[in-house]
Parts: sequence; structure tokens; C-alpha cells
Amino acid sequence: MMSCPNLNALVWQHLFRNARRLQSVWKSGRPIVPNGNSFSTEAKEIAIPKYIPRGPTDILEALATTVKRDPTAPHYKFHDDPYLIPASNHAKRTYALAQEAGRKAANWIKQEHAELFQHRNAEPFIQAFAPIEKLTESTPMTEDLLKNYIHTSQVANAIHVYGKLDSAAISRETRQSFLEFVAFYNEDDQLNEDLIEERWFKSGMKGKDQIRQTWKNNGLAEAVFNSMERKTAEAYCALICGMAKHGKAVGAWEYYNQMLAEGFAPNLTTYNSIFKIAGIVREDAEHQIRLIDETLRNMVHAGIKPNVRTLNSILESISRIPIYRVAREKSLQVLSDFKSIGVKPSLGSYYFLLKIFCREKGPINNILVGIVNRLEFEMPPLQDLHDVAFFAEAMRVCNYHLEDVQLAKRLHDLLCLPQNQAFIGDSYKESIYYRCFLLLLTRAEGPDALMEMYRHLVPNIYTPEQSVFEAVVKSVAECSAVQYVPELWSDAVYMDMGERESILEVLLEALASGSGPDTKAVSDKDDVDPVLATARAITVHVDNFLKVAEEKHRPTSLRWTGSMLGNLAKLFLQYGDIASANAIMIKVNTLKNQLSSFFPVATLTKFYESCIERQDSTMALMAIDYAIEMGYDESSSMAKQAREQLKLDERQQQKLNSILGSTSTTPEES
Amino acid sequence: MSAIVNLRVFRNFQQFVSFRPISNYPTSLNKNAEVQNVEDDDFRALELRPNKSNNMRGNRRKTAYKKTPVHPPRSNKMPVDQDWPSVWPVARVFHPASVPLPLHQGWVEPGITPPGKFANAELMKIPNFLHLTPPAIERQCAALKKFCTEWPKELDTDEKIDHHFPIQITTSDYLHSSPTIRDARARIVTLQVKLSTLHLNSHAKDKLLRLVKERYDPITDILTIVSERCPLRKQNLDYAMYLLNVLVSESWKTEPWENEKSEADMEKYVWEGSQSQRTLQQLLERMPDKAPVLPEDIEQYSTNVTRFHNEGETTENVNTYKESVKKLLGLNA
Repeated sequence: MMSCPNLNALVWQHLFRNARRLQSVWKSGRPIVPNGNSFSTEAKEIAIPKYIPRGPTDILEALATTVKRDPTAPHYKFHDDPYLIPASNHAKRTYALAQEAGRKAANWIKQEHAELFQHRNAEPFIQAFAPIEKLTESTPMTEDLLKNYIHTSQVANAIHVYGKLDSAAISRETRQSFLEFVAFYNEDDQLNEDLIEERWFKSGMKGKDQIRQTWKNNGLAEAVFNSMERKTAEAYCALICGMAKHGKAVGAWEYYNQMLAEGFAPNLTTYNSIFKIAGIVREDAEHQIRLIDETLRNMVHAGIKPNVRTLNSILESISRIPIYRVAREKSLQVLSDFKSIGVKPSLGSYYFLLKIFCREKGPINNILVGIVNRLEFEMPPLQDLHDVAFFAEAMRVCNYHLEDVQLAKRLHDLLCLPQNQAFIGDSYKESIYYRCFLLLLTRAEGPDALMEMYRHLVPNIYTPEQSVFEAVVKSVAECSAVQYVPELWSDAVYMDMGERESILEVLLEALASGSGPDTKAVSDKDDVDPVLATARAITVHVDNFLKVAEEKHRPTSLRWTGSMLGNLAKLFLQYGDIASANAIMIKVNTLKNQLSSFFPVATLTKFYESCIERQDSTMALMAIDYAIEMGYDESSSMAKQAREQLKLDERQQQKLNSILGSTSTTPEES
Repeated sequence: MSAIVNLRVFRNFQQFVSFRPISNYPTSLNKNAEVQNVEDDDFRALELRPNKSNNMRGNRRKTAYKKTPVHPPRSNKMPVDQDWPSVWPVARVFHPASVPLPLHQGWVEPGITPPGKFANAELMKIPNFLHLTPPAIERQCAALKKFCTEWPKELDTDEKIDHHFPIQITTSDYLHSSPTIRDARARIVTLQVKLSTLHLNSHAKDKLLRLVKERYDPITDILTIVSERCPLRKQNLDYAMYLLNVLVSESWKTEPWENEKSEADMEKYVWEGSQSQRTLQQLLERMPDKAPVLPEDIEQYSTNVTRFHNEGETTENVNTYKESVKKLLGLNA
């Protein structure tokens, strides 16, 4: 008989032996006790496997790995609606920043009317969602307030409080942390971390190569430093690091020497900063290398172990050395030295290596192959500021320096892994990366492969610039792959490039490069061949644009050119669309001397011949008229042909005679 | 690849570029033209009631604003061999531009085509299972396999499971898209156990059932204890287990006052000591001894009466009772 008081204890014993956490529906029962208390005749143990521990989001992460990218979908931040998907660069920027502006506006309202947002119904309470306490005249200025502002990175408020507090009220530690704070931020408030879109679009085309000095000379940091009676090693370190970070190399160097003279030992960050500015304080390459070696030796003596940031700083300095041989040697040496002490290079190190080895006017170097091999084997984690510059630089090298498509594809596969998505950096680097990639593909791949990659990237990941797009279209034109041109035309319109003359030129060039309609393809009467439809659409589009511009008296840079009209006419003739061809010719005739490039004679002759075939005398005469005005040699043979083959009535005959009469060639006797 | 290329050869070019339906040459121009046409006559018409619409702001606009071209739905661009679980990874309201299927839904008069998928509220109201295609399910199961352990092979039948793990505990967790993660209902704990596994004797069972009242379901033989009186789930769980313990231990005990159980308290009909038995005894004593009553007749009668009382009136019970009475009284004709 089961003794009941034991039941509870035995049950609990069983439950918690194996389970770390209670699941929602579970069965509990008799424990793993062989016989005795069990009522069953079987004396077996039920072996329950151990529960596999999982973090709170592990299951979600596992499910997330099953989802890959959807090429036709816009980026997650945009709405998935045909009317709301941005295609051009300008639209993407506008939409993303507009959305963030909405968040900023909401934040502003929350700050402005903080008294309306005092309810605390969130459990657990999220501090970031509550309004920040405003600093007013009446707020009691205490050291704790200063510490709080330092902790939450509110630079302006911290400076204000520091100014109001007495010097005596601030303890040494607070003063030190305030010094570090001000030196790090250089007295400027940084862009809020939540404003990801603004940060994404912000970096722009800052020349990363030059260190621009932004350090505020004789500013608050130096004042705080000077106000400390006894300058400690940490204070020196803070000041040096701040100065080096914001570009004041000379000042940092001076303080460093002063620090060493007083016998203080710098810390790791200070050494890293010194390495970074080594290139500026020592102009000559030899001196620079000597300085680096000396500083490394000092570090080793002081017992400080260098880390990957040290490696990257050294490589950064070396990358500024113009002498190729010296830079190359030294960088490899440094790399191997650091490997021997166990510091693995990060992507930032590889970035600097590329800058050193694969210079624009230098000899071609294959170091990128080795780097990609190593990255495919093991990708280092994100450790340094310069890590995000690697992929753009690598793709640039692949395109301009090495011109290697396979390597570029391997690099792209590396970037496409979900865990590596963060390495692309910001929008500027991303655009460089994809521009180089696409340009390389246009040169190296056939139209099918090119278009496959193009479709994958455009327009959701990358919107090509005008030059890149032209290169793509030209590549398609070279292989006469006309079937892709309608798609490219529609992309051009969406990406806001449909009114640029150069784009239209290359598109029409590509359209006309085909060999005419596919007679074997069975199609309905109502079907329009896409190529023909594209040609018509382009004509209509440009006509509309010019008409609207004329009405509004706006100057435009887009005009019909002879080559554009020539290609259109050629295409219409190929596809047998006589009406459109006639319209084009009328346009040519009207615009005549306004066309900036010549209407090709071959097309004119072809048109003329087709007119004769169809016995369309008006158009034929117009063609002859145009030919004579332009002074083409073929005009006489055309006139002859007209007389022989065309049936002309009175008026037309007269006109022909008058045309012929005005030429210098002798008219034949009819 | 050819499948993808074929999609590009569209029937109607409009599938590439769909401009919003604007008349580029706006109606105002036409209206003005109408007005001006009248001027071809020698005299201008005097408008006694001038048509105000000609002066309104909408008509005076000279040209239409440049409207950005709108993408056609992206379902047109989707290649046939795309990865559908990546396009529709989670449950989502039906979104026609992303679904490359020509769906129609809605009741119409017979002979008319039902409405298409764009702006179709019927399609949006119903749940769709586009996120649960078989390949998606396979993939998700494969991804989750690493968190799963083997089922113990000794537990291959339901009976064994019930035997080794008789108690079943149910709790619920609640997820909100609101600022707070708390929900008061998460503390409720339900404990279910089959009484057959407790191996109670008749007295214990009777006592337990009296204590437990409506928490017992006789059809499934399951006792359900719901505990929600404590603020925390753990406390409720402890309390439910404690209750079970107490119930079982109390039902095994016999209190002295239980001897005072009378016939009115009986939960089921018992022949021994019942009025029917006494009546029968008296009847048999008083009946002329025509024929001695066999003990098995009496027994049969007793079982039939018991069954009649306990199980209720069914035709079968009534008939057997009738037969046994007839036998007893010797009325077999």
C-alpha cells in the first residue's frame, strides 16, 4: 500500500531531478525507484533523458535560421506595399529618415510635455521610455547628478553641472571620470544611439585617410586637467587618448613625453593612441618605424600585453608610409610578431593590409586571396572601429586592382552569411561595395549571370548610380541580349533615371542591337513584343517629358538626339511598326538641325526602301527632302529610285522635280 | 533559369510600368478648349449663370504634377523556383501583392467571376496557412530537432504512461504586446489524476468523492483540482499537491462518527439491511408455504433490486426485476 505522506516527497524528487524548468503540461508520477513502492509488476526504470537547456530566445533563433532572404521584398524598415517601396537612392533615404523623424518628433513631444508621461504602467519599467529629467536652474547641483550624467552620456548637461559645482565638491574619482568623459566626447553630444537611420546615412564621404583635427584647443578637457593639483597617470592617459582621437597629434605627443618624463606608465589605450599618431609625429618612414619599435619595447617592459587594437593602430600608421617596400616588410613583420603572442588579426587589420599592399599605382598583389581563404575558415568577431571598412575596400581591390570575379563572389558569399551582415558598415560603404561588385560583373560575366545578380541586388539592396547602370546596359548591348532591356528600362524609370540623356542613349543602343522579332515564337495577335513595347514607351515618355518641360518653360538637359531617333527608327523598321517609324521620321524632319548627333544614314536608307516597298510617296519624298538638306550623297540615288519605282501624282511629281532641280546632280531624262 | 526568363516576356507591357491613371493632358485644357471653341463664332456667348467650375482651382491647374511611377505588384517578379518559406515566414494577414497566386474569393451570382485578390476583404479576414507549407514545416522541425530529446522507449502505450505518470498538471503562459509582461491568469494550476491509479478501497473512494463533490468526473474517472488562490504559480502548484495528499490521507482514515452513517446517507443501494429485504422476509413468513422459496431466487431478486436502484430504470432492468418477482412469488404460469 502506498504511504501517502511519502508521495509528495517522492514526486518532488522525481520532478526536479531532471527538469530545470517546469513546462506547461507535464505528468508527474512515481519516481525512478525500482520496486517496492511501485504497484506494477514490472520493475523497470523509466530513463528520462536530460532536459536540453536553452536560452530565452534560442528557439526563435533556431527558427530564424530557416528563413533566407527574399529578393523581391524591400528592406524590413520599409512598408511592403507596391506604392510604398522606394527604388531610387533619394527615395530610400527620404523614407527611412522620414520614419526616423517621426520617432524623433515623438521623442520631442515626450520631452516637451514630460508631465503627461508620468504614468508607470510598464512592467518591468523601461527607463529609456520615460522622459529625461530636464536640467533647470532649480535642480540641485550635486556630484551624484554629475555622475549620473556621465553615466548616461549626456555631455551638455554634465558640462553645465560641472560648471555650477564647486571645485571642492567633486571627488578625485569623479574629476577623473569627468576628464575622461570630456576628452572622449570632445565636449560634443553624440548622435543618439537609437537614431540608427541617421547614423546609417551619416558617414558620407569623409576622407578617412586624413586625420582632421577637431580637438578643441584650450578647451574644457585641458582646463579640467590643469585644475587637478596632482596629475595622475590616468589623467594623462585620458588627455592623450582624447587628443589623439580627435586629431591633435602634436598635443598628444607632447603630453606623452611629459608623462614619460614624470615617470608614469601609460596604459594600453594610450599606447594604442600613440601608435595611431606615430605617422604624424614622425614624418620620415625610418623614424616612424623606429618609434613604433621603441614604443612596443616600452610596452613589453611595462608588462602590458598588446591587443588587436594595438595591431590595428600600428598597421594604420604603417599604411600611411608612402614607401611601398618598407611598408610591406614592416606590416608583415608586425603581423607575425603579434600572431606569436596570440593576438589574432581582425577585419580591421586586413583592411589596413589591403591599403598597404594593394595601392592604386602599385604592383598587383594577391594578398586578398589569402585573406579570403582565412576568413572563409574563421571569421573574426567585430572588435574594432575599422572592421566595417574591410568589405568595401576588399571589393574595390577585387574590381580595380585584381579584376577577379571568382574572388569577388567568394567575398560576397562571406558577406551574405547572416552573422556577417553587420560588417558592411554604413550606406556609403555599402554603395561602394556594390558599385565595385556590379562593375566587375559587367566586365567579367555574360548577360545571363550579370542579370541574375542584378535582379538579386537591384533595387532593394542597392540602387545603382548612373555610371554603373550605364555599364550594365552597355554590357547587355554588347551581347545583343535584347530580352533584358525592357526590364532595365522599367528599372531606370523607377530609379528616377528615365530622363537622363546618356541613359536613354545606351538603352536605345541596347534595344536596337537585337536581331529583330522572333518569328518562330507563337504569340497572340494582341500581344506586343516587349522590345517593341519598350521602344514605344520610351518614345512616349520622352515626348511627354519634353512637352511638360516646354509648357512650364523649364530648361531641360534632355533632348532628342540623332542617334536616339536612329535607334528607334531602326527598331521600328525591324519590327514592322510602320506608324511609329513614320512618326519618328516626322520628328527627325521637324527637329533637323536641332539634333545634336547625326541621324544615321543607313537607317534613313532602310526607311526609304521600306517606303518604296509600300509605295508611301509622302514619306519617301520627305526622306529625300531630308537627305538633300543634310547633304547626304545618297540623295541622288534615292531620287532616281523614286522616279523609277514610285507612283507619284502631279503635285508630288512637281515636288520631286523641284527637289532634284535644286541638287547639283544631273537629273536623268524621264 | 529558363523559367525565370519566360516570366519576363510579358504579354502586356503594362506589367512592367504602370503609371497611375493620370491624363497627362489635364482636363482643364480641354475645358478651356471648349470654352474657346465657342469663340470661333463671331459673338461671345453671354453667360447669365456663369459656370463656376471653370474658375475653380482644380480647373485652373495647367499641368498635372509629376506622379512617380508605381511598381506593379512584386508577385509579378517572383521567380517560380523562389524560396517560399522566406517570402512568408510567419502568420500574416493576406497580402495580395506578395502572393503570386490568382486567387478569387467571395459569393457572387452564378456565372460571374468572384472578386480577385486585390482589396478582397474576404481573403484578408480568413486565416491563411501560407506560412505552413510542408517544406516550411520540415525545415522548422529540422531546426528544432536539436532541442528535442528521445521519448523514453519504455513508455510506448498510453496505459503505461498513465501508470507511471498518473498526475497531469496544466499551466498557461500569456504573451501580450503591451508594456507589461504580467498576467494574473498565469498563476492558475490545474491538477488532474485518475482515481483508479490511487487504488482506494470502497470506503476511501466514497469518502473522497464526498469531499471532492463536483471536481470528479465519473465518465472519465478524472479528479480535477484547480488552484488559483495563491499569487504565484509555484505556490498554487504546492497547494494543489498538498490538497491531493490531504484528500487521500483523509479518505483512508475512518472517523468515529462515520459509524453513524444511516440509510439516507448511503451513496448506493445496498440490499443488506434494506427495507426491501425486511419486506421480503416478512412476506415469505406470511406467505402460505406453497412452495419453498429457493435461496438463489432470493439472491437473484436481491441483485435485480440492487441493480434497479443503482442503475436506474431501463427496460432491461425492469424486465429482469419482473421475472425475478414472478419467480419468487411463484407466478410463473
